[in-house]
Amino acid sequence: MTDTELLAALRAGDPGAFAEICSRHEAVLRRFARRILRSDPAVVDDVIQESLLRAHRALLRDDRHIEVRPYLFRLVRNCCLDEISRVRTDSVALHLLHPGDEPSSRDSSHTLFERRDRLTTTLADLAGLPESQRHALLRREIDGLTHEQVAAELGVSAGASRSLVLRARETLTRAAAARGADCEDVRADLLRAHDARRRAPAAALRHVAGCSGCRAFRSALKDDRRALRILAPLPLLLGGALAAGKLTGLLVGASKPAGLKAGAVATLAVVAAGGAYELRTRVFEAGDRAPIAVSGVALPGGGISAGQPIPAHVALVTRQVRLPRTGPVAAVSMTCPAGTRVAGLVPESHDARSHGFASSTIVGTSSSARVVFARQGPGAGETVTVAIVCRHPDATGSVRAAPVAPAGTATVHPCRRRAALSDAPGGAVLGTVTSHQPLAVLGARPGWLRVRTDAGRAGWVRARVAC
Amino acid sequence: MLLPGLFRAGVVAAVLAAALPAAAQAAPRTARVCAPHVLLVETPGGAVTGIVHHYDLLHVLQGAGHAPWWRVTTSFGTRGWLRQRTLCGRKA
Repeated sequence: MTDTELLAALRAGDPGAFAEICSRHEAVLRRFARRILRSDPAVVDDVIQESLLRAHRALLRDDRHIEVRPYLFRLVRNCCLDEISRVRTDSVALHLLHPGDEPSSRDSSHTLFERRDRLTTTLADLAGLPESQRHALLRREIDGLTHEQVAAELGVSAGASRSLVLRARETLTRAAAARGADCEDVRADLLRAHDARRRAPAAALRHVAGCSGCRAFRSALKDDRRALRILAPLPLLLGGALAAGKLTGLLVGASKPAGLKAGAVATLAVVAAGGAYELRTRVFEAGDRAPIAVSGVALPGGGISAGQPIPAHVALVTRQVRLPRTGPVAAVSMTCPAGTRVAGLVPESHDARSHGFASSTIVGTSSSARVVFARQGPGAGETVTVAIVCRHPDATGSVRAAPVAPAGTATVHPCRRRAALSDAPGGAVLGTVTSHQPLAVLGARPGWLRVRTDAGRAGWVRARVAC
Repeated sequence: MLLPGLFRAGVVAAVLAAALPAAAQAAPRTARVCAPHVLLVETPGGAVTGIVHHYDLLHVLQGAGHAPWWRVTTSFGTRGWLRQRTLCGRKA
């Protein structure tokens, strides 16, 4: 039976017809969903189930003609975008291309870098559109429907359909512009708005929606205010307790303001984020004793032992996290002190659960880090400590403790968050360069620059990725 | 109709991806961690971006054969480079 015949049978009351439709298309729909939701394959089942439920309702709603297979694909696509919109984190990597699908040409690595970045941002922007705008835009642009057809689907006028499509395009364009805004400017806007207790400008909020660093910055501002609000009733509580004569012991402690303050912070800085409970954040700046051994390229000599003073220009941020036993991927955000940038992760315990920076956290660029934990592994329900190193970038923008000097050559920075460094134009990829990382230009060929990174590594990057 | 270049490229790629026949989809290259624990770095010789443990499954983004460093992405989304010798059990 054809799909059309099955649809007719379904509408005639044959319940087996829908099961046949499902079994016929489910595998390919599942693959399609998996491609879009690569970063979180666990939700593919949910998305497929939701899509088929919607399909069942829609197919029985009326007798209009429906091409079943394309219709199911559209439903899955929309459900995937809904899921992305729901999760809405920068760590969602939307690899529509399989890593294994890379073309065999020597150029593929660079193309893949750029294409992934572009797809991720484009689909994240799409996912952020209001449903009616997204539907109108996708149906118009991808499915090629006329405004009259789109309007009929949405139950609006053709003029309203045009308006939805225009607004969707405008939103996407603004999102792209906001993404290109300077984080420092955006944060200045956020600070001004926070101080004035008013809503931040729309352009700044659009940037925040797509920038994990600025989002973490905004969250930190909110957390600070929340913590201060909780502190507000403390004098009342103390007063009440003192009146009851029950806090003699605490009075002794209260004569040590530092101890009281530390206790208050430790108790009150309990917030939940990303499925993990963040128990306590501590910031150690230059001159403070390091609570743990710290290593990394941001530290002179490659590292310091626990108890040693933290070197100049460096800060260490630690955060205690209670990992959930079940539920979504746990993630925490950690913000570097003002003026410093993320310079690396410090795995305090090698026995803890696997974890690392979300892909949106760029070493040398981001001023806050989002640390994501594996779903499974040791530590569930336990408290672990996460630590990051932050460093003031030097005049060239490097966060390495001993950057290789540019040696009088022109210095450029990658315009993209990440770009490939290869051994020859179009050759094998040697490594990754990141935005704000200084690259000394050693030579050029059409379309390519020979550069040396601040780590002293020489290679080639595409000229268009350099600013 | 004028779409922003970025959006147009994304839409075209999304359409192409949707149109790819299932048979053309190659299985992702994966590998498992063989060492007790391995640090991921932003780039070879660069800052640490993550830590993975024995038997963690990784998707290989860059690297083949005996290239000393491979770029991978973890199941929780961290991307980074690690030494090829710390991996085993690659499958195509």
